[in-house]
Amino acid sequence: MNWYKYASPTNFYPLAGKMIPWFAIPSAILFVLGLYVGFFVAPTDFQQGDAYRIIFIHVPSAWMGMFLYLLMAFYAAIGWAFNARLSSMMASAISITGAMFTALSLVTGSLWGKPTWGTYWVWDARLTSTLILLFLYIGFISLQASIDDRSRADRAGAVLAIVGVINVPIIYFSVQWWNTLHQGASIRLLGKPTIAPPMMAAMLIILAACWLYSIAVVLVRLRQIIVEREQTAAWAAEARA
Amino acid sequence: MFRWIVVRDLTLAWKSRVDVLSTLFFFLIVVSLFPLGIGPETNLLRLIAPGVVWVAALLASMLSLGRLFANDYQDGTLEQLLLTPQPLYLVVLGKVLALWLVSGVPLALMSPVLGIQFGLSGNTLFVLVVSLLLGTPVLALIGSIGAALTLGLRGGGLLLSILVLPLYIPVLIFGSGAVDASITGMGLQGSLSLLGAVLVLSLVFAPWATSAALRISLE
Amino acid sequence: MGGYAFYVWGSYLATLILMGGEVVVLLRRRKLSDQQKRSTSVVQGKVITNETTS
Repeated sequence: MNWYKYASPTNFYPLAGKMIPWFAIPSAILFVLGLYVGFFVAPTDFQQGDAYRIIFIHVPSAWMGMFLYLLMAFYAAIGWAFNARLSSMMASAISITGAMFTALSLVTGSLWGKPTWGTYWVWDARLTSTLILLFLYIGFISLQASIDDRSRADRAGAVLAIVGVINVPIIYFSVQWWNTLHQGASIRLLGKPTIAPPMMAAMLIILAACWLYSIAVVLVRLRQIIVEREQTAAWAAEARA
Repeated sequence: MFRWIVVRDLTLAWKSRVDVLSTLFFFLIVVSLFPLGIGPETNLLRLIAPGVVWVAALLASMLSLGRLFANDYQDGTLEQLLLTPQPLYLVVLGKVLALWLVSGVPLALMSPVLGIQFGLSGNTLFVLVVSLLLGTPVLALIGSIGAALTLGLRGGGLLLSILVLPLYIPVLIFGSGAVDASITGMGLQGSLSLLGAVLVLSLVFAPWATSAALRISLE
Repeated sequence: MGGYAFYVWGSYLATLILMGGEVVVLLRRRKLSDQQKRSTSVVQGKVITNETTS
């Protein structure tokens, strides 16, 4: 396969269209399978009761939020370094899905926290870092949204994403450090669940489903971005003529 | 070149000293609002003092970022600076140093007055000043990236805060952690050396990122 | 769900709303730009001819 051919947005557009069902359909199947295993095969945990079933979606969404940030920064950096427009568009397409998963992991995390810790929100190290990750996504999305010149938006987003990636480990470390300093928050009502094989299986299946879902949604959005940019380019050409 | 930039920016800041002073007054007013909102119990105020002073310092230095490039951008000086053969890294470093000298340093020197309002005592006040002197240059360095990225954008100020404040969080944690440690009598070397490490890291990386951002914004 | 029904179903409902919402918003965005394209019809070339393949 000639990869260079597909590095151009117009050539990638039909290929992406053909790829979408190959990710969307398996994603739906794996979601159903994962939820079946999670709710009918996995036993009730003797510590947490059925509340632990939230982690089947909570943990994968938290992972997706983190991975997608790294992936977004990677694509943005490639797009900037090699002037590859498609790669930059990919970064913009990923950002929204990444923010969605981060928000989802916060919502499910607080719904899991209520029965486990007794409150919807504790300033636990992981929840706090996830919240900051959401802020980083919001920064990237709002920066790109407020720049009209697409080429500048792509490259400005790349700088911000790279700075964010360098900062993420420092933020995680500082929040961890801060958390050990203020030990008030770690009230645990229910113990940690012992991970039985079906629980692990359900979590991994849903993680795979989330990956496939992300790829499908990102491809749809990427195609949309390509169309919209071609339209504005065509309008601009029309206006100049 | 580096010295020229610093001297020039300091002279310009002196000419518009009202701006410089209003950043300080902002800092003073924001900190003074907290006792009014929370109540005058000294024990409670002492407990929240490190966080309050540090958050106010974050906001004040964020507000001062608008001055960093905006004027030079409007009158075209920035474009000239980009065309000079001198490394842009040094230009950025010089401008950030000048900004820190007129915003970060006075802010740190003024903080004991605010600390006294919150019932902090001798040694803690000293730690507060030291932590601010170590932390505010980091705020200026990280902030310069955001200022360069949002150059000339509509709603730039608000956007800048969304970009920059999340990146300030480690500085806030280590800075207020140091003051906290000094109040509770725990060792504060840890947080101060972490703050120093963050300073070194941002000295190396931030001017580079800011230069790249300036090139992108001015193209 | 042993007394935890609200939290468990609430989580999966939130999942449905967020993921489903993302898909709905995306499809509406596509429909909107399709309509714009038809009404203005300034775009020519590859992109528009391949629209039917999805």
